[in-house]
Amino acid sequence: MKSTLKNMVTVLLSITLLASLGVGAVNWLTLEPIARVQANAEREALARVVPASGGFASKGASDNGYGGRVELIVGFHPDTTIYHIEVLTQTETPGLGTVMTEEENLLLRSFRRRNPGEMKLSVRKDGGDVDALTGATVSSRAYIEAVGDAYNRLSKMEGSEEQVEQDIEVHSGATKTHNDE
Amino acid sequence: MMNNWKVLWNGIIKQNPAFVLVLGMCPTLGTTTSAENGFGMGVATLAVLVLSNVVISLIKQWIPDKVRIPAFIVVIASFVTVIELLMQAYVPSLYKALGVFIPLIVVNCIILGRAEAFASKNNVWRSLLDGLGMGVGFTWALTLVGAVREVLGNGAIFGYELGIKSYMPLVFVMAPGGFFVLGYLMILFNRLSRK
Amino acid sequence: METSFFAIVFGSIFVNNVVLTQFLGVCPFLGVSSKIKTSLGMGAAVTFVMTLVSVIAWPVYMYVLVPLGIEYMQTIVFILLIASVVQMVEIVLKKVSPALYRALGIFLPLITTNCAVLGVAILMISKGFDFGHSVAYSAATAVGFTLALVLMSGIRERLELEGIPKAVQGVSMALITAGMLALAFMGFVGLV
Repeated sequence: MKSTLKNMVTVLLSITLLASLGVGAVNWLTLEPIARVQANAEREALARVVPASGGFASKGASDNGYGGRVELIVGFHPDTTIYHIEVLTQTETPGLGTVMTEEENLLLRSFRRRNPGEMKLSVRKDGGDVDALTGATVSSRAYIEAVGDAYNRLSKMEGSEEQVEQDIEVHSGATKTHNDE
Repeated sequence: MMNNWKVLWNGIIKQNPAFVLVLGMCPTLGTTTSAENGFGMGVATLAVLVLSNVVISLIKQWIPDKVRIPAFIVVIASFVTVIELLMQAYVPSLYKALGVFIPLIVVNCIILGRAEAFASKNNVWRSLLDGLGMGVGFTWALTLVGAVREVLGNGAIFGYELGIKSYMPLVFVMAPGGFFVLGYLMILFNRLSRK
Repeated sequence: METSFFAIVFGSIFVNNVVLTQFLGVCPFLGVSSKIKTSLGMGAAVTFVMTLVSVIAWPVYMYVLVPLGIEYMQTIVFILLIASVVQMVEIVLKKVSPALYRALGIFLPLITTNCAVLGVAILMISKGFDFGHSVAYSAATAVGFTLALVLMSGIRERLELEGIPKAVQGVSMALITAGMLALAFMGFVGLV
């Protein structure tokens, strides 16, 4: 086809239009599966962080990660010591900050079985009680901030009475759940 | 003119996109931290490659010459987005592992390169075969690099622990390791294929 | 976003160097980096394109794609934006400095397929940076790219004078050299 201005513009516009429609259709088709996947991920994380003998879970977040937002979900024993932490969202540096998602990483180990309310919530470099990840001080600080956030939300929640539900509902705040075994 | 069988086989060995044509280096280095990731990336690229080669071959006579590159880009980008969405929905852990490299398939020089060099000049069937051959060649190259890095760096292969993890230098799954492994594999491939 | 500008800039140039740590922009890195002069020219061009792209792409994403709920069109829109910016730069450069235009040759249109450019645009969005931090991030990344390129070409210019076995020459040598450069850069870990 000759490269006249009219031809070029028409062809380019039609291709773009068709492409957008096609992609839009696929997007619409995958909206539900994707939402389901994300809900599942959270539900699974929730199940993993709460101790089998019963406890609480609370979400916390920080926007001060090296690559942006860090979101995690913290599971507490009834005496508000930490049982387990799972990272939900992070875009930290692979190999450095992303270590926070690994099992037995230094941050998790610093928090396990400790009560955040009785800790100095900062990295050792800043005079705190938490061991930072090697070469990822900014990521570590954000992680700590997020744990503190989760603890704060939990404390706020203790005041009100929440219904215990069979199906775990995760809100943006804290969730009280008992694991029925 | 190569016969159809040669077209298919070409991309797998003789003109292997990773080891010979030296195209698509970014994902070859960035996604090969394990055999599984390399394989997944290869397959995703293969899918886009075949789809875009076929479509471009189908519509080639309607594209004015001066706008062919932007036209190719729109086609390729659309298929990349489609693959992205499908991966997010059906293989979320692979999607998370490959991260930004999935949308970056659109600038993988292999795809634009084959569109320009082959699909825009050949019929649909041959374009499909070319895409398939190049895609398979890319996939096995990526899987190999991933496997080597995984064994040397994590003492595992496709996720199976080999029990040697504590002896293995982690550097192989990190950045420098990627460069070294690819460099040495390329030397090896070129020496072997020259015989 | 509280992460200081310093952390972003220093981090993007050294700790998280786009080529040596994140593997973005490797194709031109291996292809252009044999002479220091070309590397500088390429680096300058990429810096300009990357920064300009982020200046346009960020508002397009925030004020067009998001309100319309079509975030998934990000890849398509961004790559078309990059292709247009590069085309525009080519036209302007041809008029303003034909010598530089000729020196860069084929590498100028190749900036469109430089995965670092598209990569950085996508990453600045996924990291949730605001406009200011996004532009700083892109510019700093481009500087890191230029740095890696220039360092690489410095080494390669020297290596050319040494005797290297035939099978190792070319890309393979470049890759191994890059690996050592990447190892060196790992020393920056821990500074941020």
